[in-house]
Amino acid sequence: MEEIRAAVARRGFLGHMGDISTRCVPQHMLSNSNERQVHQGIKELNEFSHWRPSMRLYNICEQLLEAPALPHMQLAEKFGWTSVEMPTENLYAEVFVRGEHTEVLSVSRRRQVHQKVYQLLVGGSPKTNNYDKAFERLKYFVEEELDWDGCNGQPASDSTAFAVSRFLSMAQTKGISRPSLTLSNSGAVSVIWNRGRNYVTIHFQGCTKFVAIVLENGESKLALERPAMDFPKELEDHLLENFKEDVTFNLFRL
Amino acid sequence: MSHLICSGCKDIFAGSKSVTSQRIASALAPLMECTQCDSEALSTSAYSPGIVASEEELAVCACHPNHILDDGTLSFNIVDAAYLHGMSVTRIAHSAGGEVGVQAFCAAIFPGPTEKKKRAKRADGIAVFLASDARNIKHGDGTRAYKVYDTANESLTAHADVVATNYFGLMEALPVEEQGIRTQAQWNLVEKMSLKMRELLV
Repeated sequence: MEEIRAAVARRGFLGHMGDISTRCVPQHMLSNSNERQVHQGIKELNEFSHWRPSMRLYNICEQLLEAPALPHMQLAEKFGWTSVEMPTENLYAEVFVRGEHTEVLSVSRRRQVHQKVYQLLVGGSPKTNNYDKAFERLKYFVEEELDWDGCNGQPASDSTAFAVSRFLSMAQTKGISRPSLTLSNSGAVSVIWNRGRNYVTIHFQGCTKFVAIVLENGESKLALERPAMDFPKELEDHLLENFKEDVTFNLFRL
Repeated sequence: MSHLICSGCKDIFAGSKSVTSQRIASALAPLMECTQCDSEALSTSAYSPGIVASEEELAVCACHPNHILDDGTLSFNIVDAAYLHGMSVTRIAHSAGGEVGVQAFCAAIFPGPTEKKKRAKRADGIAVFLASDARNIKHGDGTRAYKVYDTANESLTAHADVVATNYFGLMEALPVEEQGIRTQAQWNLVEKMSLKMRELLV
């Protein structure tokens, strides 16, 4: 173990991570009904040991895989993730799971391992795609300054952010890839998936409803308005068909 | 100047300055019904260097970070202004310093964080397109989506505006079907835009 620690330290993985804190948990997890569960997860992690985050990774590796952790850290390097770029526990889980791909384990085994890792990390259900950037951007929009665009631009309201956050959580659990978020002058937030000339634009202003516009090859194919709680079947089908999360996206780098 | 718009259209432009910024585009809509002149094919002021030719390159510097998608491309929101107060563009050929000059102009508008304004935005670049790109975009019923007006003034002689022809105001205030039509037109214009980042030029 000491050898691993020393080797990893030499590679620069230690010393940059900071202590276990709420920043290790995706912000959206802290704002939904799992809050207590997440805090409990953090508490347990803190009590689990005095590990620094990187130490937790290779302890988890050893505990679950009965395999040395260093190869997984090396995999992280191959992904191009330096210690500074690995600030969240989700990424540790991703390193771990992507590492599994290379070992040609069965899908059920990978799921099992992912489930265990995620439960250890945040005490919640596993999520295969990383929406952190979307949630962070949403938070930024809420905190945006008045007149942010020089034309009396408004920040996103709390109610709009609530509706968007809920929608993002639903999209995430359905295995849809992470969308981009944009802010309008009025404070409306658009959730956007784009690929080539195909666009899905979901427009939120307030927490009661949203409007979804689907363009295929640059032409409007679907325009619908729904209560904010809904995730319409036709929209879900379209997103899963065209914007499904590709969990193996980075594997070619290995 | 023999190529100036008629007095009626001049009055419409003048009147648009007295309405709220979200209604300027709709206040300019009567220009399209003028039987005396074609505002798009004429100059609006004596400061103008000439009418906006279809082959002219236009640059919009509203490349606000909030309007950039995760993949680094532009969002349709950048065209929202065309439905509110008109999307201000600079006619590159008539701007001092050309494209680099426009970049500098945009950088001056969005200079980035300062001691006083810690969250002030920094212009990442400009989006360039042809006047004909905007003029050729049509709705499903064949009507044109945008007009490009020469709106030169004393301090900004290379100034022009891209103004929507319909579906004005805030997107969320429109019926759903109209939001679909407008969103399509906005994406279609964005597709024509070439984003030129500042760092690549300086």
